[in-house]
Amino acid sequence: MKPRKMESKAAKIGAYFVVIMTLVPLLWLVLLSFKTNNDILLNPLSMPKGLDFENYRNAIEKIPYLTMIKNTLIVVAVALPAAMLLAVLAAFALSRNRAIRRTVREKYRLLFVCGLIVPQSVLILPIYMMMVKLKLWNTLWSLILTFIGWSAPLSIMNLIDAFDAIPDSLEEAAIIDGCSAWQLLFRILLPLVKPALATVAIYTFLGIWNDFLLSRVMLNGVENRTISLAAMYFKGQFSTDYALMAAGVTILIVPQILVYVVLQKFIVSGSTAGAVKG
Amino acid sequence: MTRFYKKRQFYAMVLPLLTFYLIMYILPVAIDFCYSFTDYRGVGAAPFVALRNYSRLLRDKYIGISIKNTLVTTGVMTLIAVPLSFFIAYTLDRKTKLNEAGKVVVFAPYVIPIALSALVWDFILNPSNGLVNSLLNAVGLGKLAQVWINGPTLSPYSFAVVMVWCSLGFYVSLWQVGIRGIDREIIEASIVDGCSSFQRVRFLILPLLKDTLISIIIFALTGGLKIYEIVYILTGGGPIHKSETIASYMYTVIFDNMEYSYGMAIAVLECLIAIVFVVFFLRSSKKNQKES
Repeated sequence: MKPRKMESKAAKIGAYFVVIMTLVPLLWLVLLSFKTNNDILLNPLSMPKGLDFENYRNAIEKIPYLTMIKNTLIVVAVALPAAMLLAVLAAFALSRNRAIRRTVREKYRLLFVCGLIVPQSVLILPIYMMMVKLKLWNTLWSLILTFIGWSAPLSIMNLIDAFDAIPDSLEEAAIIDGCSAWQLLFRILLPLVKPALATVAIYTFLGIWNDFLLSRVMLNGVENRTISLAAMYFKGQFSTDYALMAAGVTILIVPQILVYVVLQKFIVSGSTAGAVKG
Repeated sequence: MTRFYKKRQFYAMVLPLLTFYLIMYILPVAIDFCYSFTDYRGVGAAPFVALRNYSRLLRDKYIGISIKNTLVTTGVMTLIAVPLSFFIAYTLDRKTKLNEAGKVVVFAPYVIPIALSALVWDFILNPSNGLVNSLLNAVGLGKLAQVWINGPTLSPYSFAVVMVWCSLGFYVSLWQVGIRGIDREIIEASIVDGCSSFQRVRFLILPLLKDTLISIIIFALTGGLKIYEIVYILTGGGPIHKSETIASYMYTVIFDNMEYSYGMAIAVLECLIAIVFVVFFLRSSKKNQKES
């Protein structure tokens, strides 16, 4: 037994080494944010001289955080519920509506799933041209409308699976009781697909949150900037002021990590449920 | 039941999302395809030029470099992330507080927007005052210090490391879902039978998790094809387009050179590569499944 125990101990140490390495970039970032720019350039490895929040004050003064956060929240608050409502309706009809033949419904499903293969980066220029034509370019609407469309493939896939898993008997009982299709969906079936809804919400949210390209192409000008564009802004404005940049990035990252740690069970299980399925 | 559901209702429920999907997914691909046969530069007319953009694709040496870089980054990323994520998920499988905390830490970068993660890594990889080279210099291994980014060769490998950092936790949790789904009794039987832990992983657990492996590899491959933010923030594709990936080169062509049509030809190429990736991989994995 002894060699095996050593083996598993070595594996554990290896795994925790990776865990600690994951933290290093973030710790380094925080460390830099308390140093002066001169220190960073001349003595990269020196420790900060105490907790000096000068960089943070500087960053908050110079970076329009409130506008960025406000814009991002507007996009999420409109796009996320809208995308989810449309996906629930479509998935319910595609999974359950027997007035349409199964093979036809299956074709619609496949059409949606095709989107998973297409890299979103190839869609951006045509969407940009459309938004310019529609006079929606440089408005948050351009992001909101696009994100609703982009969320469709993954949402549909996850929600159809969830609706398919509900036994017919439940539905029959509801129909005999005189439910309408809308009542059946919102009163009876929806509570049963809650886990899938959580998954879809998280995917859609992370898609919006992580986006950089679309926002970069669609938005121009300070008043419309979203959080995801902050990186570009830092790089462009403060490329030589490392201290300010480190503080600026820390301000954005730390709250995200905190929210994540609070909600982590929900986020991790939500983002993986339904992802593994051959 | 057929009378309960109405055809009209079906269309009323499906069409709204379908419309968004067609306009934001299918129509753009069609526009890419159509404009790739023209010469449109953002203003004025779009004269038909047949295959000229595509013959230019074949002669453009930056396309070759971009494809190579994309494949290197994607390949290296997949080769590191897939085994490493399995190792972590398997080793930290027992539900102790410490193990759970470890996995929370590994997943954390996944919730940071990639563009910000790239900026964080700039502080690590920057050749002049980044953490890696500073450490190497400090311990007297200055000779090992490299131009990790913005140099002639190493950028795509550095991108891969950043990608691993960003996505490792996601893969770990995918593995975990798979591992938790395995029947404990099978594992215990193998322990009684005297399997070594290597044998157990190689001949028992991995074959049982084939579906998980396939999804993770598909996630990694398609994720690698999309890589853009990291390039944009860390090197901007430079020096002289040496670290460009397909996506980043496409945007250089479109928004810096204003060659819309040529950019769309690159987009068509990127789509084709994505389709080849997915179809080829699904085919080969299906074949494997039939054989075993």
